Amino acid sequence: MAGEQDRLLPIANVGRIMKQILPPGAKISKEAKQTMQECATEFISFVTGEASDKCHKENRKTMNGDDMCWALTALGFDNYADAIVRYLHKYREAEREKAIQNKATCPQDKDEESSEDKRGHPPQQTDEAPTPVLEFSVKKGDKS
Amino acid sequence: MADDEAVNLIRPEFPTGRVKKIMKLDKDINKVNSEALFLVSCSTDLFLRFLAERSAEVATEKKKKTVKLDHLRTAVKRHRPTSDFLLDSLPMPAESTQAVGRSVTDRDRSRPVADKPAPTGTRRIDQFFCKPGNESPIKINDT
Repeated sequence: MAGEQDRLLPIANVGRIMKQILPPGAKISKEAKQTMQECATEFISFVTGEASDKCHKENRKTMNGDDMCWALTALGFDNYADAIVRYLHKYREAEREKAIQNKATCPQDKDEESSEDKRGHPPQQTDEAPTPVLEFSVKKGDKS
Repeated sequence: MADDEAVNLIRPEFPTGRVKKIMKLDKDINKVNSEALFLVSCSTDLFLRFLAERSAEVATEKKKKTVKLDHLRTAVKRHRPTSDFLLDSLPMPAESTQAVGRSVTDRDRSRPVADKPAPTGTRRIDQFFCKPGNESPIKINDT
């Protein structure tokens, strides 16, 4: 039944990952590949369920990244938990940068940071005056 | 970890729509934020790679080029957290005829002693413990 496949991760994705991991020339039986597909899907349900329980206990309705990290550790998948925590930080960093870029499209007047040097003189302007444009005049005419 | 590596891995293999659908199959799940969705994809990716690697190792041990279900099962059994949740979900192994044959011969060897006839001139010990039927009761002197 086609409907069943919707409840599983796409087998093409599963196959692609396996091909990356298996040594060159190695094959996988159809039955094993399908079982891998089911295992990966089962993993999602299992870890999600654990994270969801935590949310319920803490009276929260929305599952977040920290819940996922916690669930992985709680279920004994320490080897993934470390990597996943790193991914979470990278993700948050990327989201922050995206937000900053979005703000940059609407420029605002920023206050210049004034930091006087030790002698108390006003800061040198780091932005030099624009270099004068050198004008070249192309001589037309005869070669003499 | 090098930044390049992290950036490459930061794009999980699975379509987010499908991952979300699978998560939502559980009626207890309310809302999932984008972080959690992203991390589920990443961790499933890692899990699958781990499983594939371990299964391939088993196949290599058995000098097979094709990874089969039995290899996957062995790989699952070898990792405790994985076998805890996954072993029961795996398809049952096919019943082998060898196992059945073995149990029959064992039964032959351990035939109950009661079936064997008692040697001549002897009485079976369990006769001492039988309830008196035809035998006369033991007399106790009350004085």
